[in-house]
Amino acid sequence: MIGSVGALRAASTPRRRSTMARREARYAYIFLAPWIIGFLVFVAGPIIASLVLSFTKYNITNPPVFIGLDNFHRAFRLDPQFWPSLVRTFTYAALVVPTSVGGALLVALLLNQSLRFTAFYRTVFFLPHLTPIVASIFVWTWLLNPSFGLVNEIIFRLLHVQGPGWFGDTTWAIPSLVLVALWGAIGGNLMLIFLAGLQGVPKDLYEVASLDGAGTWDRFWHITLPMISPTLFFNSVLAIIGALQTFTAAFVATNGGPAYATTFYALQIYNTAFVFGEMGYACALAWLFFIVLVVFTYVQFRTSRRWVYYAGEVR
Amino acid sequence: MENTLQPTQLSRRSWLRLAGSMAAVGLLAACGGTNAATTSPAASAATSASSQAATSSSAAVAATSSAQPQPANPTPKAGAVQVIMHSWLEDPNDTFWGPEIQKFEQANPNIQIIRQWFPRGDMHTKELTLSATGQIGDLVRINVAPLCPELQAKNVLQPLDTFINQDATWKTSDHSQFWPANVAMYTIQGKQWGYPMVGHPGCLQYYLNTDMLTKLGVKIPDASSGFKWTIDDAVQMFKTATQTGSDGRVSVYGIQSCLGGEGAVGVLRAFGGNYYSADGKKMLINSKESIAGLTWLSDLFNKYKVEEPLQANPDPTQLFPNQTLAVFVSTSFQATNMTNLVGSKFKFTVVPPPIGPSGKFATQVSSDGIGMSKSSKHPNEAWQALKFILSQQFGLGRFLAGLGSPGSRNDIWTAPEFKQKVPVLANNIYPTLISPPDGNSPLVPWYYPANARFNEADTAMTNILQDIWLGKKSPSEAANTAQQQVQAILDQPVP
Repeated sequence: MIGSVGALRAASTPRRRSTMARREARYAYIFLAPWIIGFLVFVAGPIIASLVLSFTKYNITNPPVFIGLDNFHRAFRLDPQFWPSLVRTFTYAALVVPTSVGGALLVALLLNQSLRFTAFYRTVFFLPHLTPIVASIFVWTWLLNPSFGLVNEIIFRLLHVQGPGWFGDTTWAIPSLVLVALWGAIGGNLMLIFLAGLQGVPKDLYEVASLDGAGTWDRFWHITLPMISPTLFFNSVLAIIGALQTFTAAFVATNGGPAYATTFYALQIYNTAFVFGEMGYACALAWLFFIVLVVFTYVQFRTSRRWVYYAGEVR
Repeated sequence: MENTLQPTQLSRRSWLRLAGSMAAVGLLAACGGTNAATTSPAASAATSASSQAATSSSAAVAATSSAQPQPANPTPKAGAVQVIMHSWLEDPNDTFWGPEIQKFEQANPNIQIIRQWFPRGDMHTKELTLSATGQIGDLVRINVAPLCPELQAKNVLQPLDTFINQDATWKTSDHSQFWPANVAMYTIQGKQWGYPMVGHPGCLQYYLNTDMLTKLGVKIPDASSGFKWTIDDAVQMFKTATQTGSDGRVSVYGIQSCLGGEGAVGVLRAFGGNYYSADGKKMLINSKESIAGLTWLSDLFNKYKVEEPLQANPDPTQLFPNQTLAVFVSTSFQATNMTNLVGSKFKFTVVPPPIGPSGKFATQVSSDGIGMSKSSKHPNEAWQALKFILSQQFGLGRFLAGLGSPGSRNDIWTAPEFKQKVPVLANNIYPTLISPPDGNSPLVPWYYPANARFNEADTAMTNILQDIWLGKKSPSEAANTAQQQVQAILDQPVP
């Protein structure tokens, strides 16, 4: 009888645990529900909808009309701004990524020194990053005004030459945006992440290298860079993705001008969707760009195996 | 036995149950919608790409800072029908709209006007979105006249002909006050889809610093010559007015032109050219006459170097009052604006554009308008509110309050208060460009794409022509590029 009671208890205990586990799982889902619902409604749903809409002609006031691959054909063969906007975007990224990543690394190296007032310097370098981007761009458009801007005034007084047209010149419009981006990026999150990475490099490696006669450059090239290569890779990936998606600065400072000089791909998508009212085509452009970004990021990850060293990694 | 000394504790399960319920309630509450207008991100761009001068519909709006608060919705009045009106943000202290609406509601106690305002740069898209989701109000502001076809094609607006024909008083005493060229821009397929709320002859009115120019010995066009001056006179004026400082840099620029879709066409028309054909289906930018007009403008930048360099957001309101700019081209709105900014620093005047080979004053009537939504639930009441917005009293008052260009009615431009406030417009512009004594008004409508692709065409045109102002392309080269690309846009169906 005791055995049967014991068997009964043994049989009923997993069910009680199962019931408790189910109840706890239910509570977990209840707490997760807001995020899951939000994700489905505001992220996953629109993504799937945009994929569907990319095969339609849709202006939001009339129902979408299926047109197959016409939008993609239009992008590749008919839209005079598709390829130029891609080229401009990659040009911008090619200018801003190496300079911002390199500049952030340089600043992080400087701030990693044990100097007096380091905390103050870190704050000062980080402040531009905290400035709202729209406000900073407005200030920069004044500073870079070709007629009465401070920058051209300084150039004239020092060098006695008229400064460039900056945002009003097709040659200088992108470099002007790069300048604005660097002002905020060099001392911003990139620098902070580099700083964290630098502080994770074991000091004994430098001591050993110094004992072996390695100079400053040797220590940097053979110790610092390899040890922070994961950080460098992370920052590079984020910087490239951010640069390729650049929108706000061009939208506020130049609205894509002059003469399309700053009509980047993201701005072109925005104009197509919200200014020209062609949502279907804009969705197609967005998906094409997504594919480009995925391919780019994949290539980056594949090539990273050659130069990124993770601590504890076995090769 | 129960330990009554121990305080009662909430068990872990009860706590989780309670927290989960509160989260569910919060989620349900968050899913509920409101009817409030959105606030835009700061500095939303105008519909057209950056143009050279601040116009009533151009990149000046890009300087708008974060959205001003719209007036709180009033408490619904018992027995009154609510007429929802969409318009753009203005009058931040509600010193004009509030009292005017109050007067209207006192005269029409069965109607209550509810304002839903949006930043101008976002308004058009917002109205389309509201229409798509069935939330559009009763009265719809039309950002600029060329956007009327898009609102009509996308079933946002309803025609007003029935209301006009049934309202004999409106038809005889008010409708006739509107400039025919302006009303024509809201007439599509023989029906009228809106009315111009404001109007002026175009972004081609020349603001001259008369003190500076007179000192330099420049002859100012005046009433004695019927304000007639030629394009050669204009070039000479700009060259004389452009001054160089002791450091060799230009200290005063002769001219800042109005470029972009609203501006440059005024010069093209002076040469007999145009952007679009009257039916909006053909591009005319590469005609001989249009290229001649583009060349004249290009020479101001590249040959004579009298033009303020192309900038991202040009602003004559900074340069002209500070006398670093002798002349700028703009709309009627700047007359009140400059009166306030210039004050007593110097005298200025506004004159019609110089006359070119066409032999007559060039105009391109410009306006923004208002219409009635197709899904208005109270069309008769909405019509009453619409008439109020389009009335002489409202249009004049709004202009005198400094909120924009004058209303597009003759009885506004000839009102004594108008003449007193802006004599330059009343005496110089009105009798030459709007209603000359001989009755032959030179007012010509703003021609725009018939397929409702104004924004797309205007963006392409503005950007392509900027290569001319920057000296990167010749006028004929850019005109041919514009012809090809914009004609391809005109050949597409309605979006």
